[in-house]
Amino acid sequence: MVKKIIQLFLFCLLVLVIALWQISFISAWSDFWGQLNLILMLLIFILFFFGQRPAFLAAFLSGFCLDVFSFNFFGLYFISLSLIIWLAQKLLINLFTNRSLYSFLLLSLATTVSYSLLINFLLYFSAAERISLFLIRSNFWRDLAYQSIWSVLGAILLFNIVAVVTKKFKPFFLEKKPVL
Amino acid sequence: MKIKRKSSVIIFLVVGGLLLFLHGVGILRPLENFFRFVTKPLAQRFYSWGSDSRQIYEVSQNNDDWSQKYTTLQTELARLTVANSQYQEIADENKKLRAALQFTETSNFRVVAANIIAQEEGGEDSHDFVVNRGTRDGIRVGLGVVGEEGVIVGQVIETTDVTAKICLTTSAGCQLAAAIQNQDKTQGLTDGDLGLTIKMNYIPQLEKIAPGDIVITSGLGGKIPRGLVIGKVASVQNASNEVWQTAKIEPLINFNNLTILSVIIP
Repeated sequence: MVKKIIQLFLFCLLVLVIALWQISFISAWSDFWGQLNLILMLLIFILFFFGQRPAFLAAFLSGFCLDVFSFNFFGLYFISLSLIIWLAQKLLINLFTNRSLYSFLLLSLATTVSYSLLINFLLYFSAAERISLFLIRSNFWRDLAYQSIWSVLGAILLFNIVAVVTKKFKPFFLEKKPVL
Repeated sequence: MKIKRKSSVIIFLVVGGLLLFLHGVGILRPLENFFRFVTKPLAQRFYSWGSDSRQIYEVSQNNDDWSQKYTTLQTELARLTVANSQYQEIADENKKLRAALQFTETSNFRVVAANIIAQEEGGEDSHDFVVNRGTRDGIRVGLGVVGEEGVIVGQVIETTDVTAKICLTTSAGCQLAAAIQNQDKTQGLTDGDLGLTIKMNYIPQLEKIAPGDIVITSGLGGKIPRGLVIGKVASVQNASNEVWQTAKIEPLINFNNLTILSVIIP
């Protein structure tokens, strides 16, 4: 019981530190480097390897942290992140049935695009002033491209680290066995 | 398994709804303030690391320009040293004259130092800073914010008890009442342009503006004192068939390198 509480505490602490790192450290960078979405990467990683409950908990905590520091409407981030986790879970059950690198890559990419669209849609509809639709802004597409690149790179890195550490996950379904 | 999964979704929906409700009625505010207060030092440290590493990266990218920049800056330094000595003379003279006339000091505003803890994408082409000072420190919406060099970098647009959001002068929608230090003392309104430069609109065609003219805050509105440097005129657009002319203003400092700001409280 005590071990579980300590594990939960450390998990929450890690999520909060990563959320703060995203808010402060990564936001200090610009262009390509500033588009790294560490929180989303972490959430998909948790969902893929540890399941829905810890992923939802992490989405809530990191979303709350982002909402507290953000000046956008409260709930924007924890609602978006929770919805993305729910969507990712649906995709994981119905489409990406095996736990391969390719599933992880596609899942990361799909959630990155969905999250970016969702956040921008919510910001667009909640804006007090009239602003142009983000879909016609070149900045949006450029940032989305950068985020997609980061998510693919991150997914490859994280998956390979886990594969090396646990020897559990391999991109087995593409491996050809020699014909005897 | 399916029931367990569904129940966890319901739990998170209930908790989420409760959080939104509690925030809406303001019960969550002390907890949010406590969370901000506790995490601010760490966020400040992270931002400082991020800013430093970014500067190191940018320096390594621009190594070739250094010798050219050095020569230009040496010339600029010599010119400014001469100008400074002249201004020093004028300041001393001004002080003596003020003492003789028994004038009181005019610049009696308070300054609150603030650390940047995050950057936030604003609406269209805007970039905002979040600082670790809020209404508890006397910060209000509309106050001017200067960088370490004393150049105005933006103004406060939103506040919480312990944090404040600052729009940069280069952000679209961040408007300041300004004046150009030319013969006509041209007045106007500056607005950010694409998050990169500043433009000054609605300048009558007859006003004479030249590239290099310094643009300062005009003090109109009362929340930002007069005389804070916004930037210098880079180019002027004055088509003969237009009623107004527009000046493009270049900020004097790189806003990306800022970590400490000062909010001016009049």
